[in-house]
Amino acid sequence: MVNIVMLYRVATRLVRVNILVTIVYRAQLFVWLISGAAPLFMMMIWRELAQDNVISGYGASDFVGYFLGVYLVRQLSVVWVIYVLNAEIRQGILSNRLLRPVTPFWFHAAEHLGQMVIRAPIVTAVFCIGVYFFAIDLTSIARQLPFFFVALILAWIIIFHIHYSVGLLAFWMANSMAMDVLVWSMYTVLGGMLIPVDLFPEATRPIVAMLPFSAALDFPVKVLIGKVSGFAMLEGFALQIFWVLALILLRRVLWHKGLKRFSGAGI
Amino acid sequence: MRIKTLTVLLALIKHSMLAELEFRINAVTNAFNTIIGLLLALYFLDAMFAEIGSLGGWNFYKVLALFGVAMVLEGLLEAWLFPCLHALSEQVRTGDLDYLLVRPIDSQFLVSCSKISLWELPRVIIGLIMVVISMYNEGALNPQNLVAFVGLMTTGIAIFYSIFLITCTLSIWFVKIGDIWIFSYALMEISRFPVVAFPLPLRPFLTYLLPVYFVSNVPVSAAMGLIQWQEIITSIFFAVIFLCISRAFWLFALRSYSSASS
Repeated sequence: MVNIVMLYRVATRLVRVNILVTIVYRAQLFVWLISGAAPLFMMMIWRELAQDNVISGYGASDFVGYFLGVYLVRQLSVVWVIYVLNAEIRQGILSNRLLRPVTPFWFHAAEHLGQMVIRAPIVTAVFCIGVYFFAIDLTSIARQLPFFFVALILAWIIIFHIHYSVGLLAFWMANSMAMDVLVWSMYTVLGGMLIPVDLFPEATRPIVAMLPFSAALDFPVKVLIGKVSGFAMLEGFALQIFWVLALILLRRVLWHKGLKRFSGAGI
Repeated sequence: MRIKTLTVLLALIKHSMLAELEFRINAVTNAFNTIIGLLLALYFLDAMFAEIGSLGGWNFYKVLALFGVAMVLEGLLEAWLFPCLHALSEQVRTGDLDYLLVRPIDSQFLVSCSKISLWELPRVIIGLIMVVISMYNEGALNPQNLVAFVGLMTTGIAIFYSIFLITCTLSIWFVKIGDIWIFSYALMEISRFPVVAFPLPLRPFLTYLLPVYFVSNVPVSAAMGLIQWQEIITSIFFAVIFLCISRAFWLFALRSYSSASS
């Protein structure tokens, strides 16, 4: 019981510190918001294409909803932990973290959550302006919100763990940063940032839909705009939970194996 | 004066190469990343063009050529612009820019060419191969089109360079702005698509203000042999204007530079 209370206090403190850090570097935040605008450009392209015909079940307003959703989910699950881990492992800063009574993982998670608290209202505002501007049905979106929140949290855990596992490769590789590009290109194409996963060719679509990238982006977006329901939604949640468990396991294995190799250079 | 600049450039490239040779494995990872990126791009384009006939009149191979051009830009960004000009904000913060300014050679040149990481160049080569393959498939592969493509690609790169220099120069005033170069990445992402694919109200903006049109669309039109004289002239005009603006902006920024060192 004491443990849980302490954990809660540590967690809120960590998140609060990181909120303050974000406020100090607010120019950075503005730049981040601009850089996430790619889905909005894709939205305009697809909307033009679907102006007078429905493409594989997606009409113009579906595309608008989809890519606004992609913008929202992506901006709420921005992860830069590869940079952090790479720097900390290679420069030996990780030693400081290891001395503290909380596992470094929670520091990194709190850093991201703290930024998200600041970012969420701005991103949500952009989303709502988009929804209003393109006259998307808000009531149907509101009905999906409870499911969406669950899907979003699971999506965040998935994408954070993918990045965290790749970041931990710095224990073994000198240039784990290069992997960041790889993860990013898979996430953008296979996650649905350029094209909804539903529009991929029949033959390969099931494979793409099984990957963690679509579970981390395409699925929560489809939940939000009501493109998935009933049994398919249950299936999607099951897949998300599968990836959450698999990736947590992977992260823990990599962490324990890697830590044995770590010699805290530079301290 | 010119010859001296050239000698310095060669020396800078040589030194960058020596430093890079220490990290040979990077060449392999970069090539690998590029190929995976290329396969993903092909998969995306294949899926997209299976659903639609054309993208504002641009067919599969023309858009593939655009992706190739964007890849060339990305390669140049990673190999040349980013290492140099990103270092600029750090030099401003620490005051190391002083040492660059006192040297008897043009400061903009020195800042723009101080570091070149050759291992990013596979991306440029693969991008160019994509353009050539697209030209072949469109039946437009002839010397005349190749010359036009190379010429207009150069003007496109000049515009891209100018925009990048302007955004990075901002760091002289706003040290903390750090990541402002992300704008150039956004520009590169948009340059993968023809401007005509965007809604009508946005097109003038993408043509004149954020000249994606001249950076990627015009070179590809030239490669396909679909270019008019007016577009060539406008393109050169734009490149000159942008180079002049970025030059003037750099000199103007230097006047407000107050060294951070003692």
